[in-house]
Amino acid sequence: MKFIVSTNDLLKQLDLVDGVVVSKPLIPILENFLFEIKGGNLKITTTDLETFMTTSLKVEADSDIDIAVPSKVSLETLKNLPTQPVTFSIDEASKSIEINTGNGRYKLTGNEAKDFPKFPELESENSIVLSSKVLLKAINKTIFATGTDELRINLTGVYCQITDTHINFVATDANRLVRVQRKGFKNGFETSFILPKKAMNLLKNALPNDESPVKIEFNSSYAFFSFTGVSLICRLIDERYPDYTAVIPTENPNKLSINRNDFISAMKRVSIYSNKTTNQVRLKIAGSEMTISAEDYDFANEATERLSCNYEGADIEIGFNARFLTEMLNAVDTEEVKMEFSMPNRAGLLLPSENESEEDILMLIMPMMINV
Amino acid sequence: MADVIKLLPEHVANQIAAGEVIQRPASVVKELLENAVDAGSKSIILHIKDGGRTLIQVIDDGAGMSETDARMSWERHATSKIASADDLFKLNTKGFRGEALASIAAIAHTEMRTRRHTDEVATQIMIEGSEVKSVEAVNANAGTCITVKNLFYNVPARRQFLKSNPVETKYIIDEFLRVALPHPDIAFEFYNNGNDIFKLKSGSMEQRILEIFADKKQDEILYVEETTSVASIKGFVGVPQIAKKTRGEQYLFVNNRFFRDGYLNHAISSAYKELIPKDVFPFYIFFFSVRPESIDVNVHPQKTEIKFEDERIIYQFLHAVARKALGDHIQVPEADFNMAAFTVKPGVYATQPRIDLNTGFNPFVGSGSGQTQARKANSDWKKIFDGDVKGSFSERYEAEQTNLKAEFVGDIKHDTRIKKESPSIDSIWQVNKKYIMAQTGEELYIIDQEKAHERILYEKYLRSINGQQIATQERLFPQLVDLQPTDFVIVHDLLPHLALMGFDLAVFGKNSLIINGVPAGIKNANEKLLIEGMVDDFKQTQTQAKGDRFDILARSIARKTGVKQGDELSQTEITNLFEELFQCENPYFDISGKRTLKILSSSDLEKLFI
Ligand SMILES: Nc1ncnc2c1ncn2[C@@H]1O[C@H](COP(=O)(O)OP(=O)(O)O)[C@@H](O)[C@H]1O
Repeated sequence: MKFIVSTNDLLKQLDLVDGVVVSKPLIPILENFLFEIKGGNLKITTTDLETFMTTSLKVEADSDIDIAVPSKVSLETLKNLPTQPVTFSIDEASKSIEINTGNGRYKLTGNEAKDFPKFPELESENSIVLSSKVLLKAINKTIFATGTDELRINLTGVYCQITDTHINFVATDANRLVRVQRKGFKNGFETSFILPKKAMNLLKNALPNDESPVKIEFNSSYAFFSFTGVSLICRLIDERYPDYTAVIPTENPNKLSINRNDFISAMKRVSIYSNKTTNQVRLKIAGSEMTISAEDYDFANEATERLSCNYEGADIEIGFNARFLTEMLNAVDTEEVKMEFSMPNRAGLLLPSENESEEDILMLIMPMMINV
Repeated sequence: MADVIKLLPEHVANQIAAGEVIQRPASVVKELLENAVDAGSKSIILHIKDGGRTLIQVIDDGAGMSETDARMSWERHATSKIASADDLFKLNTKGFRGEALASIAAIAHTEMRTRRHTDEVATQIMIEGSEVKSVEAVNANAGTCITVKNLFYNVPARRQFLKSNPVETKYIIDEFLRVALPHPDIAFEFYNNGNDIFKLKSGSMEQRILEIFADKKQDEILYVEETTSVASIKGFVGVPQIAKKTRGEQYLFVNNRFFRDGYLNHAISSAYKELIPKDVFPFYIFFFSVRPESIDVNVHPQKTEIKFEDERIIYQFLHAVARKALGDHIQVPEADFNMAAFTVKPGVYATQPRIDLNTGFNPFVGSGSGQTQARKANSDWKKIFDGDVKGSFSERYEAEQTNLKAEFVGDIKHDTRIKKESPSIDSIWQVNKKYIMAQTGEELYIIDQEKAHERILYEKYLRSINGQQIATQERLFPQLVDLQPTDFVIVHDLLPHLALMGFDLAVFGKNSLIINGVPAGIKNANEKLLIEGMVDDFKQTQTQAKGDRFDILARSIARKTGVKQGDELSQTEITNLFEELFQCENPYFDISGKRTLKILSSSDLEKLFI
């Protein structure tokens, strides 16, 4: 059989789902794209058994076929071709796949489609719908704060907490926490689950930054995302998420407001001088001035920088991991950023100067101290 | 010249530790040699036959004695070296009890021939079992010659307890070396059954050591010298490679007097920690000079145990000195496929033009293979040696428990820490999530990430306990750890130290702790497992000699918070790890003495493909 497709169109779809494929998987078939052509519609599926992703596009096909196509070779070939229509000629019996361009002929061997794992049938209990843009933002603002500690699997994902009226996306690595809250829903149910980081990264790559609706269905083991022709199913992290609400400080009498870009630039310079292991920087806030300082005794390095700011509260000196703080500052969109403190050994809050409607972003960072 | 020997007052004699002076031929040798040294000799000759049973003869060219002194010297408590009890505490000469010759005379056939340099004729005295047989004026060289024959001829019980001739000979060699080592200015000759075992020329201390320990090369011995208000120390420490599986090459001298001290031995051997395996003993010779009043040499009749006024200070000092010698001299591990060793700068031997590597040498199999033993007799007695350095170390250590913190004073000091130059990296990458490869100029470094990081953290934690506190990363979710009451006691005692290491811990209820924060920058931080594991480590080491609590603590936490095999590291992390490793006091070995890295030179790489 044969089908014709534009390299550009196919590549776009393959790029969306290729992130699922792992190198050297347990079973070799997982290194393939599953191509299923039915009535001129090409459905492409990839999986690592934890995550399944499909997308589809229209092609000009002379008949239907199911075949598994080696992902690496086919993708590399397409990437290196100029945009043009190409012909795929597939011999069902021998599984030979030939890609024909005007000047070239590339032959590779495919695999049996029926060896490819089946896309799980999801019996969803509940679902919500939100705009792609909103979900994308929630992922972007939380994913960096997830943990990497394999002894704490629960923190390696993004916690999704659905209440009747709002949805919270939460990430923490036990040193800092981000909560993105979206309001204005009428869900009619309450649930929560932990989404694995890999699926979040795939969504981040695939979600369009527009108002297209994303439907999220879920049961106790899986979440199922569908949007603009793409579907993604991922196994949930089957762990309990810590009660993060209890650690968000409510009384923060010391309030700071500062230009975010200035703060980030100063942090970048000063943190070069911080100890490479601890990354500690210290913020000393008094009056309308914030002094950022760092030192590395091992190398006799030190740096300080002063920034003007708006500050209400008692003078305070508080230390943080520079990397954590910078990452959080980068996750804020507003020109000004607010910080709130209670004590040098308590969490500091980081907030955008203003939120979009129906949105509430809260970040929290635990201090780093020298004198316990 | 006036006669100089007086009889000790009775009460002084009684103050002197009692004991059998002469236990075996070696005791006679020791007494005679020490007397000859005390007499200011330039050359001393020792003859023995049949392990000293049939003959011991010491010929010196020292001061000699007047006829009266010669007679007096055989009397019990006759000594020219001490006249009152006060003098007991100011001893600079070796003999002091004035009972050696008398004791020898009682149990052997002895002959003394002695002439002062100013006298014309010599005195010859023959004594058998304390009975003076004859006193004659004879012709003889200036100095003293004492001949002891048929030792224990009248004490069969003693005779029966003597070991075989080779064993007794070995004891004699030990005593000989203990006298010969600290006196390089005196020439010594030693003949056993007419064959020479040692012919030691007078010269420098270094020459003396190399003459005696003919199996060692001069670049294998490091020299250290330090002076404090308490003592000045000169030391010669062997590089880790020449440490041996058997004891016997450990020498401590105070004011040129040999002594044994398990506690101070620990000070030195612990400086080798991680450089050599546990069952291997380093080579060292240390000479202390202290004010004579500050030691009590009288605690043991064999005079090989000595009490310092403040032994703990000496301990720290000695440890620091040894550590420094080793630390200063251990350089970048040598790139050689055949050897697992590192090069060592020549110590005091500045003339050594370059470092000659001893290939085919494995520091971890005890003494070097294929090394020629310069002296046959040497190897013989070394083989039979099973010497046991008695140590009252553990008991004393108990007493130090309260003062442990001071133990570190000499070790790793915060304020004296200077930045070391680490090799500059051209490129660096991680392999198999286990190793770090770094190219620096012509060399390729292969680093075991887990072992290296353990080393880095271990030193960091030790420094933290010593004052260079580690920052605390406060944690969002405080962890509660419930402990057994006995375990809780262990942790509770360590709370201040854990705080210095960067833990923020709070006692909660009776036997529980809340972990609020952990040392900043640690990667694998399951706080709960960390504390529980640490308690286990403590319980396991509790049964052994109490060891060093901080050390156990630093080790335990370093093991548990370090990067592991299989951890994927970022480029920054591997670069940082590389640099931090070379800031360590001892970058080349992990905390259990295993290698952290290997260096391949371009010629090593070439060799791979020949
Ligand atoms: N080789 C010697 N040369 C000169 N004097 C000696 C020699 N051996 C012994 N004496 C003298 O004999 C004395 C007694 O010796 P000894 O019984 O060994 O007692 P000690 O050495 O403990 O004083 C010494 O104090 C010393 O004056």
